[in-house]
Amino acid sequence: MTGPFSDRTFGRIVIAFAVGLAALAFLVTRRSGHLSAAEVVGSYDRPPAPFLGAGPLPGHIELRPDGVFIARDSSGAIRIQASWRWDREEGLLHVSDPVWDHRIRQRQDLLGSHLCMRIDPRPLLDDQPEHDEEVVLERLAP
Amino acid sequence: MKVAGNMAVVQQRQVALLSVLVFLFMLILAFVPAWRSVQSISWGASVDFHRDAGFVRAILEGHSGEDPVTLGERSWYTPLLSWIEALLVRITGIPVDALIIQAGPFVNLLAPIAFFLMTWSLLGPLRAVMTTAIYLFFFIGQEPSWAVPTYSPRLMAVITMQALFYMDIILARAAFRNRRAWRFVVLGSLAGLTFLGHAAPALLIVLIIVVDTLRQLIPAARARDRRLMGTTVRNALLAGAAFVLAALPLLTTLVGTYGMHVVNRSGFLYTYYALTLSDGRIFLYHNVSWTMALALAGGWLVWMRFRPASHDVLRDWVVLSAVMWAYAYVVAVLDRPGGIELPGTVPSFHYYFYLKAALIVLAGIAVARLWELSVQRLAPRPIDPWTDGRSVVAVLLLVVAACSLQYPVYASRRDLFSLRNRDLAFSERTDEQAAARWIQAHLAWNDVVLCDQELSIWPMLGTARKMVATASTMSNPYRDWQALHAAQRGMLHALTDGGDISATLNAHHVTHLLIRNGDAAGMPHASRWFPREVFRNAAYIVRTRAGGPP
Repeated sequence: MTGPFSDRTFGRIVIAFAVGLAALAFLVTRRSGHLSAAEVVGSYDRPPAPFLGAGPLPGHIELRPDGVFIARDSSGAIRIQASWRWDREEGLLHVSDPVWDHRIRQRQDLLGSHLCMRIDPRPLLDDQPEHDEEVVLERLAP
Repeated sequence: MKVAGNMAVVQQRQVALLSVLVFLFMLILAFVPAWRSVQSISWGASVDFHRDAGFVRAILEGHSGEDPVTLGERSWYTPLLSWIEALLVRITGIPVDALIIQAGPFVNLLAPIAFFLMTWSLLGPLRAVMTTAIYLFFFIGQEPSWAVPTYSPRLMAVITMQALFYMDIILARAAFRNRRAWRFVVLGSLAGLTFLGHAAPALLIVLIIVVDTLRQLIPAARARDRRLMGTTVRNALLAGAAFVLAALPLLTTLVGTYGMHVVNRSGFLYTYYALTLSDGRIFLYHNVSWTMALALAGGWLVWMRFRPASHDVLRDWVVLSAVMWAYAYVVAVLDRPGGIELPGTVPSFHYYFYLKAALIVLAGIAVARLWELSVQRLAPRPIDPWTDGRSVVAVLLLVVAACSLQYPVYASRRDLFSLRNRDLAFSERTDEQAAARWIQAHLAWNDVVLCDQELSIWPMLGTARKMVATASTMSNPYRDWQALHAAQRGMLHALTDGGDISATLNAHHVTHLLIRNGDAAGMPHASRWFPREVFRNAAYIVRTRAGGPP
């Protein structure tokens, strides 16, 4: 076909397009895939990310089922021990240590949901220029 | 011939209608996560929001045009967004701080709409759909939306006013194509309005107008075409006059009051951390991407392969924003003790923002070319991919599928989360918000607060109450910030170490002291100069000079 659609055909196409797009928009934008607290329990490692460097924060995180948060450095020594709470609605980890509070959150990509971590060491609100680069954490064990 | 012409018109209308439908679909997909990101937020964490709240309160309290931070000074910041916000507060009754957050997803819809219209005028409807999909869902990646153009819930001049620049581009292209005088009047007026909105896009569009004028004037002069020369000069003068008239509310202050004599250069020296040499790896992290590769391919197509004259404006846009970005960066690098003070304009990242907007258009051109090549290869016979019914429907469905697949990534991207995460953390500071409300409600317009730099940003900046000094980047660029800051530090030290600060307090018309509750014990002389405590909660104490030494 090189010419335009007939009015009737085009009218049908427009209606089908509009209805289809509205339905698709509804389905796509529905909230889904929010992890529960039980699902985020586990051990995580921070893998190296291109160009972002290692950063000063510990790279091994444990979210224990009893609500204990532990961050270990590369030697395995405990650097931070605090309590954690998962905000399912926001997909956000609350930690009693101010440096780690609001730092780990749920992010989605084409392969599903992951936890990711803001790597700048400053507490969130002390960092006005918004150094909010993040790395996706690698889950080691549930 | 006439039947064929009518068919072409019908075909164009059909393509246009389908393109608009897909654009609306994309707009819904972009709007929903932005709208969700501001739900239940009534106070923004960003210093920009605090600064803007101060300007809006100044307007609402009948002090439009006055600097809400420094006593006796004029408002120096581009006012258009504050005017819009003040109007919306009047209409809706929503408190200032909440409105600045809640109105963002709605007001900022103007940006993608203007971007779509601009790319439509440059490239046609289908390519506009493709390019707008890149603008909305793909180019932003994990950078903040104040550094990279896209639709965003943040109601900030740098983001909101991109809409005016895209409209400027449409008007500039139309004006230089048919050279009618009224078009230049409209173009100059919108450029002036853009200046009231944000300086960076206004400077870029003025430079584009100058370059395009020279592009017409120089060949006309060489050919001794007096008529074309006269028309070109007349149009440039009309555009310039319209610009000045439209920008007059701000120009009267910048030129009339301050003579454009910038003393505090901190504002335009600010450099987005990803653009500094020390954080060059972060620049690479954000810019080594397939969308950037597409943009470079689009640039190659436009300038090395096809060179369409219709893309002169786009070429000017790319070159001028890159040149201005480099210049602004050089200004910042050279401005150090013993260095060189070049005239500055705005922070370099504002030009990076507009360079990236042009790169998005180039990426769209590259994607469109890929589609053309694919159709040529796959179609059994030669067809025009931009008018053939099956090709049109196929490309639109592909765009719909790509945006839908990208949605989970887009909806949980750093920019949206970062904004909401900060606002949520900020909303936990209820004592501090109570202090800000009290200061705003109980201090008079001309009262002046002495506080340290951190407190001058929060809780002070959004209250529209005067301070001795605030952060240099938020301070009036036409006042000597170093002197104000030195006076502020001197008076605060005296509250700890003692000393007579009566003259300095009087010189700066200081009426109140704001300190952290935890700092009070370390300021034994505070009660001498500020004898009466008028506010206290878990976060802050406010004292007044009333009843103290003169």
